[in-house]
Amino acid sequence: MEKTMNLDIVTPESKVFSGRIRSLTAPGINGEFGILPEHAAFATVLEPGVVTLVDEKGKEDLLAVSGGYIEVDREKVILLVETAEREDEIDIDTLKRRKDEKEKILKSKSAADVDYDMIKANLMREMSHLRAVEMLKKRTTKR
Amino acid sequence: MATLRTVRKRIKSARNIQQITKAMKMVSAAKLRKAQERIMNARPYAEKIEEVIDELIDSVGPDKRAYPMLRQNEGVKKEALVVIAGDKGLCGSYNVNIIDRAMKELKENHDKNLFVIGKKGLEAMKKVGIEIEKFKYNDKNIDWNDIDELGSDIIKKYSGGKYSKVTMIFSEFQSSLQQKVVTKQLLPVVFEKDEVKKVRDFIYEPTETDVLNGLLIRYAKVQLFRAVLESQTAEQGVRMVSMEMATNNASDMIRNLTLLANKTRQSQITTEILEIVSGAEALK
Repeated sequence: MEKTMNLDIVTPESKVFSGRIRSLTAPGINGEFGILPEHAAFATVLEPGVVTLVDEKGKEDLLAVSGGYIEVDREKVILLVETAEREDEIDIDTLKRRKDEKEKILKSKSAADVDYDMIKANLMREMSHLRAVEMLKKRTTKR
Repeated sequence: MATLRTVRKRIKSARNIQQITKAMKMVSAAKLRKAQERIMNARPYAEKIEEVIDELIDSVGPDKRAYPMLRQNEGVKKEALVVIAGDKGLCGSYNVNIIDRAMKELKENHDKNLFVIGKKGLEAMKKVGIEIEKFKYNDKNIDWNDIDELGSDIIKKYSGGKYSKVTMIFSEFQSSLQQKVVTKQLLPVVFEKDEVKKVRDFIYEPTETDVLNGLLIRYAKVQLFRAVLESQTAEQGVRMVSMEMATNNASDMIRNLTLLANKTRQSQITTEILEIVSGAEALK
């Protein structure tokens, strides 16, 4: 019997995942890291990227997440992220279109415009979301 | 004296209205349930964030310079106000209460930037003549992305030292019969600390400050998100009640009008009989 730990992935809209897992890799602010059961208690900030988890039965599951926070407490892992999506839930074309739209808006403005920074921040967020999703796609097709 | 035909017409239109209000009440009841569900779904996220902040907040010394979300912006007069109203009317005094409170706030200090959620709020605020920084529709499609966008904007301006305070005005759902207009400070973050303290031996990476700052930003957004969900629930609650009342009023009206119609018919018949009788009398 392999050791397992409890994992909760929570977003403001819903609880995406809740159950026992064998291992987890997540994109930390200082690089990607892996978590196995009985890990020392630790917490860090997450970057947008891909979370890989191996569930009780040894099945791998991938989720694209935007930035957030992770907390590991030996037996219990809690992921607080803004969005978390499985591969089949993602519509990459819509995301791309949204990004392109934002880019277009940004080009039409100059740095002197009031909302320039705002739009830029929006674009950055779209891009990081897209990046996470693309990374996820790449990994799933590799297998 | 109303003719029978006009009275009957009025009964018919009252009935139609009653049907509409009844349907609207039903729709609101369904929406209310959905809105409550969303609040429930958002709760674990908020609770966890609060828990961790609760733990880390002690590490903040009196020097709050490293925490843009906690420090006061000294010497800044400008404030920001987030007004959360509904998109639609037909919900009693729901929007009016919110707008009244916002007006009161504006009277106290006119130097405010406005962020408005909900079309009815926008319409009212436009009349005041203050430019609106940002506006979002408050419908069922409003989601975390919208709040994230709005919240990031506010937070950025606050940490840039533009505002001394950010307050939000929204309705809190207490029961479907009762709502309360709430004024709440969003920034600087006021955190009510739990008395029971349990310190866990955690390693925070990269530093506690970084983790806490990240969490405080999320906390503020969660507060905003919760306020929006709360206001949606309240709106549906009010609408349900006011539509119920409208349905009852329509029933009353229909009863009165039916009475009137019967009376009119009666008197019409009486007059007719009278005419026939007097006609027959004259023929004799």
